[in-house]
Amino acid sequence: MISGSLGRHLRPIAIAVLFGMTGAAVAASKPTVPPTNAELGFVDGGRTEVLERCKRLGIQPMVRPTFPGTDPEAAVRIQSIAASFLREAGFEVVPDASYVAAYDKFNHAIGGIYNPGTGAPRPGALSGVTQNALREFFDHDQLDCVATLQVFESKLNVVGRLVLWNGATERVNGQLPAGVSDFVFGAGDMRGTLPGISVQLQILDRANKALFTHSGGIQLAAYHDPHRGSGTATFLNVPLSKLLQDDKRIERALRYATVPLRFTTDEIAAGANDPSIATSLVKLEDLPPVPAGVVAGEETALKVPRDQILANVHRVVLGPLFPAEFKVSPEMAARYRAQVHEELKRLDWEVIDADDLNIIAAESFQRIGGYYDPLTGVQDPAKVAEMMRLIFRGLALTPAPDALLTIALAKTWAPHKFGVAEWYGAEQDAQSLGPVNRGPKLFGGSTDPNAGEGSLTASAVRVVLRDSTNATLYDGVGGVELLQQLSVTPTRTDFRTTTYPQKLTDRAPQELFQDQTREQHAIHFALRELVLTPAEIAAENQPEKPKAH
Amino acid sequence: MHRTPTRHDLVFKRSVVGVALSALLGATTIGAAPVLKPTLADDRVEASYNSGNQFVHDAEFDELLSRVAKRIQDANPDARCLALRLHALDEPLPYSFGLKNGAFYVSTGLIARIDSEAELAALIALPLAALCRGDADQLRSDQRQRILKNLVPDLLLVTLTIGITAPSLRKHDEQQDANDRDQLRDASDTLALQWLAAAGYDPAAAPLALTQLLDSLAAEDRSGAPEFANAADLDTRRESLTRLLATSAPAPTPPTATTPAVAADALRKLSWRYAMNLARIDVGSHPTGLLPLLDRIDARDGPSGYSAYLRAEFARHDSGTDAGVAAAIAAYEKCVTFSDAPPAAYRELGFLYRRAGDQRRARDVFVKYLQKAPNAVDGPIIRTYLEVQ
Repeated sequence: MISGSLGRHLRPIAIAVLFGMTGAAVAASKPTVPPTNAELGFVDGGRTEVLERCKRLGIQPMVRPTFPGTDPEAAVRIQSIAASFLREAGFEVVPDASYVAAYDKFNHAIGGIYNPGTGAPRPGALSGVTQNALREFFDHDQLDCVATLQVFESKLNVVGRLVLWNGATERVNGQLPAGVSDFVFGAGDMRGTLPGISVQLQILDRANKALFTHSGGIQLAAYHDPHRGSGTATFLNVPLSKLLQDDKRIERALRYATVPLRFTTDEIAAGANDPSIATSLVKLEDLPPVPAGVVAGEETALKVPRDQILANVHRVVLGPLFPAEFKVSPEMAARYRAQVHEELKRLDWEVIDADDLNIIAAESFQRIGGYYDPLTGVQDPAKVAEMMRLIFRGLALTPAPDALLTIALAKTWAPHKFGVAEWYGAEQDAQSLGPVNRGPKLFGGSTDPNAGEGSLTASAVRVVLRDSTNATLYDGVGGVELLQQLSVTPTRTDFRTTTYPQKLTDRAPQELFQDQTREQHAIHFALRELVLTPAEIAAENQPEKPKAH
Repeated sequence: MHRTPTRHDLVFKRSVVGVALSALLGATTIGAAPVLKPTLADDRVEASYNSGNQFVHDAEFDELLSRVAKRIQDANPDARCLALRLHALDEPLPYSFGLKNGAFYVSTGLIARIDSEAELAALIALPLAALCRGDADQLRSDQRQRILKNLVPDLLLVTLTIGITAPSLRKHDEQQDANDRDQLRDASDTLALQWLAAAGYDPAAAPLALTQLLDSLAAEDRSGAPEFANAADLDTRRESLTRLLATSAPAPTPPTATTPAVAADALRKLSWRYAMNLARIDVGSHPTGLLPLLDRIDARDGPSGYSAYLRAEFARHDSGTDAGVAAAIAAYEKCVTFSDAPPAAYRELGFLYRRAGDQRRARDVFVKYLQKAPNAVDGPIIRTYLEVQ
């Protein structure tokens, strides 16, 4: 959540420069106090004790993918970079061959870690295999300790235009400074949080007790750029596939994570201005450009070209509304399906209702015993094909349909700016929950700068079209309504300062799904890339055309 | 010469001006019978708790809570101000609270630290009495009224004294709020004690329950903001309840609704189960709280295989040295002497024997593990160790 005040930045910057100069002068004359062992991540003792106790160190291979949705091979690069820094620290880093062999042996012995039905690890199976593989690793290689690496995401505080965390410095907008224009038109005085990716290094003894834990910041997972976002959305998410691709940033993170192991506290204090120790001083110009961010929800729903869908699909089976976690009345389910029929009329398709589609799919899935490989947790294409064959056979339609269309309710996030939430084609006043009135709150509008920016949970309808091979042809989402209400309470902290604490309250189930206009807009938005031509969509997107409420 | 007004002066002046202002604005009725008006916000809070991760799906727990609440409400017509829906929330700290729409929650941390149904009844009756009497609304109303009454005099005084009196006025108002809160709480607690007696619970269980919570939390090095988790609040409330009991509590009526032994058994079982859950989490996250918690439960219910297992797990986490391994082995060996020792104790003992180089004993306990947990997920892995040996 970020609140910015464009146009108020010149004065703070001038003050910051003045204080910065004064601060630098003071810092130059004052020696830096060495950090304590606890501050550096040591649990008992310090660097000397860990190096003494953990002469032979193994690195436990990371689970793949290291971070959901990212390149599985990133694990190998992270481990390799970590190994070189750990060797530099003085450890004898032992290859992980015995761990890998034991892991494979135990994984096969228990019939696979992963649940073939969900692709998720079975309870107790992952820990059973990894813990025993670690024991083998300790025994076989006479290890003293083991190092574990874990990539995690956390919320990071924004300071002005920068985010500083775990030895990393990044700019909030993911751009390099653009000289004078950046100074004049830059993001200004910002506060709030952005998500970022870090890597945690832990050194454990044989009893699984942590002796050392330190993390290094890798990269931002989203940017805040008021000049690049569209509409109210000024947050740009880095696609998961683009994370963990930058070895220079991974190296910076692991350099920082291993600083307490490679240097004494006095050396760390003396190196406060040395970028190889104080890695937050590494210049962004010396690092590769960060991957571009994209506005959430603006990805196309067409997974194959529209012409191709229209050429190949003429006869479609439509399943019932899948309610997910929501309470759905039979009337509401019928309404949704009728609306989908209404939208699809434009395509002149033969749409066949199949009330039992979800049941047939579940039974087919159960019959093949799930389609995930129990050893790796990834989908098995042969089993997927078999499941689709069973579903089409279960439908018993002649001729067979070209595709299956499923509709489901889903919970999602709706970003808001100044109290106006926008998500998947819908918009709603986050404070009143009424329609958006483009105007200042003072004059009865929805825009309230004190509400800052953030996100609320919201409902959406998702429409997916799959062919007989389970290939997704179309995956569209339309926003229905907010599931939370935002409240902002001005609070006076003293005579001069007023803060605006924000609170999100979950709406009660009986309040939800009462507005049929919102439902119609949601279903239309979810299907519009399929049912409308690009020219019709462009016409619909004209500014004078109102959106859902 | 200017004289700084004393607190007495201020109160006097405020009351004089305040009377006049009240007459102009029309005073709100004080002491009117409370009307519980559930709001949409209450329904939302209930929906949020009921769908949250902390919501406990435990029919036994819900049944116990409902039975205790029903007994209080059946014996006291004024306790039937709400149709209660009682549930448990998973939280290490003890608390219980109700909403004006009838939703009422008790934390697992509370049940884990009490010993009797009477104590549970007391910790339900205390917040329920405050809820039925509308204490929170009354306090807010009194505050609003006081602010309104004092607005003009305060402004005048602060202006005349160039702001010097502002801190004194604020302090006086805070004191007044605290006094009001104490008075309302005492009145509600008195009612709660009467309810307990009428329902056949010993009212003395109320201060006893607070003592129990206070001692447990201190031993476990835990504290928090909720009224039943804050040491200072618990101490004050315990004293006031003891005082109220000495002056006004009637003798308990013998229970009729439930056989006490059955009730005690149900509560003890739940208390033991949630105390062990708490201890299991503490092994890794709050080791300082673990041993006092286990000591208390063992002293009450007797040592068990599971509590011995958690003690052994605690020892294993500190088994980085040979001495640590020996201590962990001793703890697991003690654990497996209990007939209800969990199978995992045999497995961990096997791994510790292996570390100590005792392959024969390792094999024996691995075999026992597989006998006790024939369908364990890691069973095939343990079998590979038997094949190698």
